[in-house]
Amino acid sequence: MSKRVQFGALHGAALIVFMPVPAPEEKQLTVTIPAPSQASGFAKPNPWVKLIGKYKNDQTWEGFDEFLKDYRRKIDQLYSESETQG
Amino acid sequence: MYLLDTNTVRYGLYEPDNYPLVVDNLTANNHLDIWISVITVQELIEWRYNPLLIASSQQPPYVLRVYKQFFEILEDICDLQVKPFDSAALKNFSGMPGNVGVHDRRIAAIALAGDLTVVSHDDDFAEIKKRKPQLKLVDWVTTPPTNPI
Repeated sequence: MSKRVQFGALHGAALIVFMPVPAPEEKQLTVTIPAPSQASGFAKPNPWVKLIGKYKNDQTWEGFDEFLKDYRRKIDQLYSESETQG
Repeated sequence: MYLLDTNTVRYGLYEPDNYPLVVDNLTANNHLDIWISVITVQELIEWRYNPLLIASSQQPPYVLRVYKQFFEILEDICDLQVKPFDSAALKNFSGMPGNVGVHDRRIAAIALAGDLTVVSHDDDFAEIKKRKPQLKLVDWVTTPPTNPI
């Protein structure tokens, strides 16, 4: 904690006032220790966190459910046709 | 280790507010334990590839948007861990119930081959488990993380 000296006057008499001035906020150093499975090489950030932030309520995902159902139906059809032919 | 089905990926990414437990699991578990299958990759790529074949997408500004989305999904997939559908998976594919979709059966077969737990909200995997009792299942839509980092 640092201190600064200020001079003031009270009823004509010289007054020395010591006012404590807060020191600049101390920065905390954080060290992250990687989990054992990440210990070799550089720890990679969780890619899912990035993707969750990126695609949240992204309108370009609208219609994905219908697409997936339709696409899987086509694949099922192809598979059954190949079974019939095979 | 976990193998996400495509719907679980979609819940976590597109509607995280509606599926908070999926998000909790994606972020609380070690991401090195979370895998997707090549089947999900196929579906995600097809999702973004299809618009490239539509006539109305051939002209600017649409052509830029659809190529951007296609490029981005490739980048995103490169960040994730992907399990293949290989001969070990094919071996596990036989004997799966025929009333379940091929892609769900292939995802289950990949999980069985790699001793992974399928993460799904889909009842079809419970149907597969009746025939393949060794299949491990969990539903992150209703289950909070049990093994956080």
